[in-house]
Amino acid sequence: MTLLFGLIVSIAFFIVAFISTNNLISSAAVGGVTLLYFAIYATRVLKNKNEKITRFQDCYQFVNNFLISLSIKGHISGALATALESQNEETIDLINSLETDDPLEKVKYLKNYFKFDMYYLFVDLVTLHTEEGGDIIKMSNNLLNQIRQNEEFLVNVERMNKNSIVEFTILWAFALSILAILKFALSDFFVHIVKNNFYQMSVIFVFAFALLSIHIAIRKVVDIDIKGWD
Amino acid sequence: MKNRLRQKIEYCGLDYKSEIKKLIFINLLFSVLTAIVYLLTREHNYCIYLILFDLIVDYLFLSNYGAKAKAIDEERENEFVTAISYFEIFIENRNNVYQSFNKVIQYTSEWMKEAISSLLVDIDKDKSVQPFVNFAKKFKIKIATNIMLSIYSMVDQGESFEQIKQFQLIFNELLKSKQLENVEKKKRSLSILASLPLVGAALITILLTIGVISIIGDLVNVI
Repeated sequence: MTLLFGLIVSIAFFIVAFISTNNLISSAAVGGVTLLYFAIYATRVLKNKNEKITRFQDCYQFVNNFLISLSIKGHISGALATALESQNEETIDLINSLETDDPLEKVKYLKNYFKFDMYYLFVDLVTLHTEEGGDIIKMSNNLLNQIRQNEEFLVNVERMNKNSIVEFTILWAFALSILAILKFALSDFFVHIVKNNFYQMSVIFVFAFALLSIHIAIRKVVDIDIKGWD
Repeated sequence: MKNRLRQKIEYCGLDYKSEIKKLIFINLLFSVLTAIVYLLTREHNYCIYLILFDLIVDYLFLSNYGAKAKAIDEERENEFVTAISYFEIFIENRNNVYQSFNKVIQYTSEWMKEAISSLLVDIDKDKSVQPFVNFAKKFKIKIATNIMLSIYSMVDQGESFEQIKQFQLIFNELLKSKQLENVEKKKRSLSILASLPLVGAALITILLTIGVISIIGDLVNVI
């Protein structure tokens, strides 16, 4: 999806650069560099960020379902089976690949998959409950509240990110359309301007700035801190 | 002033002598560059521009420590909130204050580990409120002292239901305000994005104006 978006952006940059400079080489360079940026960098960081968020949401579902099932069924194996129903194939395969039958060991093993502080705390609570008993819902009340608040924060952040990116894209589309319209607005005068080296370099500079601002936008969008996930 | 700068640099975890060497190196570089430019061009203006640019670089270099120190304070505040929220989970589950802090250590950064370890060592030696107050002083948020005092009251009067409830009341206020702050911080961070295309549009307009004026200038000369 990111690569497709990058392809569209690089084609758009190429077209606008060519319309405003009449120079195929510099326009191809602008389009090429943009595509490379998306292919090599943007795709990777956005994929990591999405993976982090999806994993956290899976972790939240797992912990929530597990604790509720444990309070109803009273045993870990039943709670684990119920919690796994809401999980993706990757998690289920990971659990099934383990040689042990001990459900508590399986829950502990998932620390390698759900690398969040919240999950480690959850494992500590389940271990304590196994050793000493008690009302698991009461014991995990604060933990569940905190995970829920983190989940709500993530949902809010994703919504804000989407709105910002849409706004950002529309504004840049307007800004670059000024360059494209020049050719038609200035007509004969444009023929003289386009021969000016300073104008050619300036257009390249504007696209460099546009790419820099895309980089800043991506850095801000992926900047999400979930405790424990490096 | 020298001491204040030294304190700021050391607070950021950097070596004072290395940072001063970097600053001297930058200034030497600019001095050499200015000398070369003057020898080649014999123009005073270029030298003045280079000196001014050097002064701006010096100012940015030195003011960077203030920003770094502020970022460190903010990170420590967030760490405090996180550590106490984990503490809350442990204290509600049959752990006393000492055991809860011991368990929290594994979830913290190196700096926080040292701070909590130091608190635990002080609690062993001094059964008064002082270790808790000293721990709270490491953080710039005022409510840290209230929270640590309510934790001390748990040690002093036992981890009863009322003591835990009182602690939770104070801590939940901090948690709520931190959460709102985090949302506002994210909003502010994203709001800058809207200004970037406007800067781009302004650049296009300025560059276009310069281009047009230079063409007109050429045409006028020809006439």
